[in-house]
Amino acid sequence: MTALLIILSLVTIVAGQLLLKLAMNKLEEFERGDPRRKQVKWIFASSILSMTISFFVSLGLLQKLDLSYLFPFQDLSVILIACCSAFFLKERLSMTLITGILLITAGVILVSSS
Amino acid sequence: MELPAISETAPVKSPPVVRRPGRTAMLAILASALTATASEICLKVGASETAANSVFLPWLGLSGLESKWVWFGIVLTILSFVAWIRAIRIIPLSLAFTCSNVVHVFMPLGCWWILGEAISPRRWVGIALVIVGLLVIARPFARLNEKLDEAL
Repeated sequence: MTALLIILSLVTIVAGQLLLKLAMNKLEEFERGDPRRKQVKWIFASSILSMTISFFVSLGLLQKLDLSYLFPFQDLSVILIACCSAFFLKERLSMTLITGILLITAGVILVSSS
Repeated sequence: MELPAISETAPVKSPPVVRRPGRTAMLAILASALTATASEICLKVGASETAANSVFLPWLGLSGLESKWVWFGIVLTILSFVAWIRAIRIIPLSLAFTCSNVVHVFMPLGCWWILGEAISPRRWVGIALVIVGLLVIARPFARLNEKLDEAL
């Protein structure tokens, strides 16, 4: 059950962030008064919903587990978000950025596990 | 030699409005990380206080809402979220989310500085790695900042 909840909190935070960025992109893309701007509201609402689920699932996990145990799992979200941004939002991942992401993830795992 | 006449009615140009979107994004990420750090600490305190009260849907942590610390945490989370929206409107998500990991430097340093908690050598190595990683991505971030500033 704990593993499932950790996965759920990861999936919902990644989806929430991607939807939020998508909403912001669409906001820039469509000018004020454009009827297509309405869809931004729905994307934004879905992102808030997804992040709210993640918030409460994480809070539930925090009640049972140590922050230091939970953090390394949460930090997988950095790698997942970078990959999903490249795949879904067509963001460019340079080698420098990938190196930075790997260094930060390694550092965060060390910080959390000590 | 005739000096050029100075027109008294020459229009006075107002200085251009300086907008620095790159710097705004950086400050927004910093503000978001600081409030997120404070929020995380408040939530952990609140969640620990109320861990024994879970009756309804215990896996959701709803009993945490009985603690004032969880409410402080929620307010700080909202503030962090507002700053976060400001940042990701300007820069790519992959870059912004990676930069937001500065929170892992703030959190142990804050506990060490404010609460007097000890930091193990292993944790110092981790903090150093996160800082190195942030310095590595500072380069593409700076380049993006320049592009954004030039574009406006």
